[in-house]
Amino acid sequence: MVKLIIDGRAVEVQPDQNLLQASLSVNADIPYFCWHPALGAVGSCRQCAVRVYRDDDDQVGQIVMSCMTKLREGMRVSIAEREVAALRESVVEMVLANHPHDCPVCEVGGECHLQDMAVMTGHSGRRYEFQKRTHLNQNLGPFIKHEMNRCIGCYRCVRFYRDYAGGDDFGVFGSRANIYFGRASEGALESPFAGNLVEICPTGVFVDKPFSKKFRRKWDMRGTASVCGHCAVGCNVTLQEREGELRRVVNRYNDAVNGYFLCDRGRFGADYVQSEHTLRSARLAGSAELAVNEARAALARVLATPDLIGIGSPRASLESNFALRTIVGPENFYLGIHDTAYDMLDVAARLIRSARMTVASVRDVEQADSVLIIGEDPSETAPRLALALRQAGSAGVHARANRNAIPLWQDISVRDNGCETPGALMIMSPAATELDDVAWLTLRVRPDEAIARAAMIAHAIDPQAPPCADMPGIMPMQVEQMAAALLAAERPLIVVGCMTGDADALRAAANIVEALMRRGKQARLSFIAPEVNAVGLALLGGGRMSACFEPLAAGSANIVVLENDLYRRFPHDLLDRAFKQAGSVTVLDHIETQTTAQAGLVLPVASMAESDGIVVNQEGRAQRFYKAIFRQTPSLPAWQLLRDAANIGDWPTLSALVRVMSGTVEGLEHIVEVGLDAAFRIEGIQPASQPHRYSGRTAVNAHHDVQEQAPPSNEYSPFATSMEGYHGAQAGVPVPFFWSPGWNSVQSVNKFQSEIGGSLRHGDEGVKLGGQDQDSSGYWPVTISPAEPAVLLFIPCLPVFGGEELSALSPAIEARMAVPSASMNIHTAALHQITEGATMDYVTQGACMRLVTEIDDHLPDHVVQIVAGYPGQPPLPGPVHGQVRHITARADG
Amino acid sequence: MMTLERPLTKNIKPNTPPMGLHAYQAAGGYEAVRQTLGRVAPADLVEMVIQSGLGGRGGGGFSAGRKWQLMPDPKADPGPRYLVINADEMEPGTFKDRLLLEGDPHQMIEGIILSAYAIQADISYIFVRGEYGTAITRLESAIGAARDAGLLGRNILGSSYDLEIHVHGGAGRYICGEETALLNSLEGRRAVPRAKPPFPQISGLWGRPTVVNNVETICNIPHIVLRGVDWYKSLGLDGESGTKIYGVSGRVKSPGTFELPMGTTLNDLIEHAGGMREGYQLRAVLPGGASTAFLLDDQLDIPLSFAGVAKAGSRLGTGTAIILDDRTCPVGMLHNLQHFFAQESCGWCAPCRDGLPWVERILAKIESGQGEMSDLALLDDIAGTLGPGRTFCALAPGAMASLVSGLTYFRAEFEQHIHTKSCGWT
Amino acid sequence: MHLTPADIAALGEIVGHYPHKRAACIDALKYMQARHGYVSDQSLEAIAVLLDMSPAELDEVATFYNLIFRKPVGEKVIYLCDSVTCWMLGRDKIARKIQDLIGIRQGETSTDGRYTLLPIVCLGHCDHAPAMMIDDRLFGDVEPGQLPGILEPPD
Ligand SMILES: Cc1cc2nc3c(=O)[nH]c(=O)nc-3n(C[C@H](O)[C@H](O)[C@H](O)COP(=O)(O)O)c2cc1C
Ligand code: SF4
Ligand code: FES
Repeated sequence: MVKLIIDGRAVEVQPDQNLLQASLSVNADIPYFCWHPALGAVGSCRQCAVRVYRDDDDQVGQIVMSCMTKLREGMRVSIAEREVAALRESVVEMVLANHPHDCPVCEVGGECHLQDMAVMTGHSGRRYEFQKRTHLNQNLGPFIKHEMNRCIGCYRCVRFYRDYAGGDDFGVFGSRANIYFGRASEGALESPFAGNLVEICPTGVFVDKPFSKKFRRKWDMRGTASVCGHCAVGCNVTLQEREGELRRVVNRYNDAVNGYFLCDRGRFGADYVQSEHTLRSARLAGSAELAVNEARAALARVLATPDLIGIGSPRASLESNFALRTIVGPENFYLGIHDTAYDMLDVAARLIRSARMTVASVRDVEQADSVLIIGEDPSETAPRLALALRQAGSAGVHARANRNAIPLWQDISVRDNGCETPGALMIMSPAATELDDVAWLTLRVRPDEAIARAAMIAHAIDPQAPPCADMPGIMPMQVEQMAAALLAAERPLIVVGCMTGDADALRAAANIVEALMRRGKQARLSFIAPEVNAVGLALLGGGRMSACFEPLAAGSANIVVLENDLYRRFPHDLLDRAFKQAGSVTVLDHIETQTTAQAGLVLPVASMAESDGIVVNQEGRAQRFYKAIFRQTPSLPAWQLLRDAANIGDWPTLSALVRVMSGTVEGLEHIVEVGLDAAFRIEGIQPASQPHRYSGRTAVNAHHDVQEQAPPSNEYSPFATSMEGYHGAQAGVPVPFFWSPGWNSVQSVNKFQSEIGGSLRHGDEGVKLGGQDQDSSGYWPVTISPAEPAVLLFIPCLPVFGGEELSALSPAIEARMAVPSASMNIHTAALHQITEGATMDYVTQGACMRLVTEIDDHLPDHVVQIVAGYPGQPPLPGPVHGQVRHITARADG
Repeated sequence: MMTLERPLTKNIKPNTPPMGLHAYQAAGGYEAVRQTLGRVAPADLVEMVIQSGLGGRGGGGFSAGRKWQLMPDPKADPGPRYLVINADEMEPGTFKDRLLLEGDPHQMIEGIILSAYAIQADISYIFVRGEYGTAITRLESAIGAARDAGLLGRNILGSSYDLEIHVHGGAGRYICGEETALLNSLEGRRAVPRAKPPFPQISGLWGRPTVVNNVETICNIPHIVLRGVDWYKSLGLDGESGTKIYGVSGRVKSPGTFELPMGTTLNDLIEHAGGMREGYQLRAVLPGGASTAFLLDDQLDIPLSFAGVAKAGSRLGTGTAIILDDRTCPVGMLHNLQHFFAQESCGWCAPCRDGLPWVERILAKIESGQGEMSDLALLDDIAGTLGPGRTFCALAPGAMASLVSGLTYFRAEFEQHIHTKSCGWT
Repeated sequence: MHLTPADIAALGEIVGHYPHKRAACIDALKYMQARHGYVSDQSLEAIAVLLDMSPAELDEVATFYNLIFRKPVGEKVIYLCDSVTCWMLGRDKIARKIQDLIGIRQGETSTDGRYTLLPIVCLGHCDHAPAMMIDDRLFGDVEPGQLPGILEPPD
């Protein structure tokens, strides 16, 4: 710790931060614009001036920018001194010279960092009397609205978009007072992190476009802690609601998971909860809607039958899966995922349970100093994790800065100094990835080739690790180099996911980690699980689907499918047959899917936004989401519907169910510690979920009822649904809205952290499960199943936008979906007489996809990368052999 | 009267093409290189330059040798090292480097070879402003000749020292002269300055150890090497070393450049320029380009040395004086100057970017007779905000130097504009 | 737009001066401008591809520097110094005279497309103020009366 004296007050702060950050951390407010805890300091806005004094005798001191100032033991600092305070006011006055007076119509008004800073400096009157500069705005696509006139030139947007997130289609143009932040030409921002500009911009230049259409002021919305449902990273989000409508999704800071940033799939993908795809009422096949009671009775009848088969879901809560599993009996519960995913998750669950293996949090990923990625493109399957990997890619740059005594927070200086330092990543994947620019080694290889190399790396690190049979084309030198790079690191990280479609990839990855640990390294593993609760589902346990289709074939079983579109996962003919043979098919879901379309009985259930529950992310972190949307005619959460229909008395409340689950399922013991019980109170009152200033509550419905509406009831979460209740941060209580006196913008999150940019003062959320198995060290056997030579190998590519089930149903995301295509290198194309742009039939396992062909010379020979996961596309659960057919012209054409 | 030594300009004849390689060598050129490469230890050369008292001629006056000394040991940070020559010369009123570049390119190259050797650089870039086309072609052809003669490239003169020189032509923007913005520009980026520390010696071009020096600074090196520290020190007056290429522009009889002892008085300099033109009185002087504060006619006896001008409340800057005469509106002049700076702000830091155009507009308003007394207070305020240490680089504080001194010295003229609601000077 | 083999060779030579391709981007922009008068979107894209930059990255640079034109200019560009010494010595009169002669103010291109008039910072020719440059020819001590001769040099 370092001692400082700030305006006479002695404080102790963490070393290795700049003076601005240190001051903010001890509640000494200094206004700032260009600095950001995640982006570091560059000193361009000149807003954070303070006076520092050399020693006790120095009465004059010197004006410095606090963000660019290193700490010195015993440093005397004045924020309040008259001249420096006047300077800060004057600087705000200058940036406001050209800023429009449009706060009343600006979406950011009332939660604007610029407003906060203007107030903080005391600036109030305008002296600039000349014409303001104006700009034309650009259409930046469906996510972001551009209002350039509001720009104050802090450069945060480019620094985030380009330096931090690696985007290259956005920049700053022009010079002097005529600088313009935008794209070279109009068009959608390409980076999947563009949405963060909304929170990065200290004013209203980049505005959430879908939100603008259903706009409410920050103080007019209820905020609820939730978890993003679009991948297994499980980013923490705040859902903001008013009048039963989801208005927007904003980042909810969690130091261990998403920090300050979300991906655009998470931010703009949640509107599926209120789209045309939302399932609102129950029905029986062939008949019209069922009334709620009839539907529940019908479900009760199904659940009363013998021969029940339950199919769970990686996108449903742990509670709902557990409820179904309990009702049908664990032996009749199947996980509802493809066998390859099942096998991988099975290994993953064991690794999470292992006391020896450290599975990396996103924060850990960011801090790794050498990374090997095996067969995965995290920028598709776990975008937020990929953003963390990009930061890890700078490990070498940071090391160089350390050698040259450049503080790591001095952002551009660090980047400039390290601009010739190669990235810290090694990537083995069939296709180019968005992270290639921060990798020193990229190998374009098939999944089997990547796994073989991974096995060899483990063996190279520790000869005790199982060796791998020779495979043609592998250069031992390369393997040695990769092993050496991992060994040279202090915090090496191995990343693997499901794209290889082969659990051996995970086993080989685990072996590398084990080998590194045996060599004394603090090695970590990151497994990218396929869906939001896939790990939770695996920890819960259940049968594999191939085993499920057998009893089905025997006939007459009654299937209950929980929130799962099986048609996205399994060959359609297989499912059609199975459903035909089944006694009955009942589907519970909150969206219409191909599976609901095939069901005999369909019941609507609550989505994550409309319910409470727990999901477990890829790291094994169990996280609670709370009910955020209160509809007029709500659907019940699936667990509750199932409980009532099966007439189970053990779970009067969600907490009771969680307790039962904790006692029944091995490995889920700690699940009771996750989140708050509905009975939780602070000093006898509920925490409020609406801001103090939530206004017009009585007027909202005045057009049809002048009586004040009762706030909706909130059965399973502790939050009061109104503004009445406890306000303020409390240990273990997720923050429904970040707001603090003088800090109305998202930057108020600073006020909730123990150190600026560190953990929330009241602890990061989530409970890490696992780690209980003591006897789990040792190497896994790895078998390589080489791809057939010269046969086409189809490899799925899951686009961030639309390659995932739920976000694809959100209008903004839908607008960003591309035409599905198949890519191969020119050599492979020539071999099959395919030309670029040709539409071909790509055939595998009975499925036929008619796709436009693109040429991508990064791909290895005989590999076809197929854009998969779009609605209506046949499933492509992993790499498969396939064929390509020319479309035969119809003779009558 | 003793004839003054003019080491820097001795080879330069007005309106004549520069000396070619042979003529330059015949005049003693590249002798310093021959005597030094492989014979003198680089560290000794650095020490010599420190001892010589050579101060940076780019405007700061910082000891060239001490700057070099901050380069890390090549063993501590192995890899390329660079010497960058700042030939951006865009400071209004400044035209001294052009003389050296066009007039004696081999002297420039010789200076570079010696300096690069001293800091163990392997590549040198000469960053020449794009408008100096003649300088660029002359430098390029001189570099070609030097390379053909084995004075550049691999194993120069058998010394096992390698050096390449490349000429980089700029594409405009005054800020490129700021040494760290210059580095960004050389890297093919927007020329915005970089934070210091880290200084370029630690993290310069592509993050590598780099020294940036002004043209004139480097042109001194061959002479120091050849004729020694004592001789070099004896050239200067007022306790500073060497000669200085001064310049005078404005309404003097013979505006131009003059190589004179460092520390020559302003009076003497104006004398060299033939004194004021008939019918014009000297009102004030910007002693070293647009970024320096005014000196008044009663300060003409000050020595034009770094210390001398600083003592008088201004800066030597580039040593090229701009004379304000009694028939030019001082408000108009300040408006012109602030227009320049507002245009040339790089746009990186807020007060400069948004403050300078504001200043410019207020001055235009006053000049056109629409000013109010409160505008003067406002100008004082803004000038405070754009002062030294408050903006990111020295551009805005440089801009404020003339404004602040002008607001003091020309108070009466400002008030006259405001009270008479017109400019009396057109 | 496609770069000709000669273009690629010339640019390749410049790229060789630097350890990183993108350092050649300003030279490349100037090169394209010398050939086509200005840097069109197509030129910009062609250079960006050659230097492994995105169009946005290159345009950030192109729009920063005042000697790079992203819009067409006249056949000849007149750069009239507007810095302090030239201003004192009558550059505004020169500007007015040019306007009289060819009808353009600063920033404009004559209707016949022959001239563009641009202000420029100090040309380092202050001892011959007022100064101006037409393309790369420098003129000093310019008197309004000389302008017809300068602008329409006898062939
Ligand atoms: C706005 C600005 C413009 C500058 N322009 C020039 C210039 O054109 N030429 C120059 O040599 N130095 C210029 N300098 C000074 C350089 O930053 C740097 O100090 C100088 O090149 C160092 O060389 P020296 O040590 O040899 O003097 C400028 C500085 C500033 C702040
Ligand atoms: S003072 Fe600021 S905006 Fe002005 S040139 Fe320097 S860095 Fe750029
Ligand atoms: S926050 Fe310190 S200069 Fe911008």
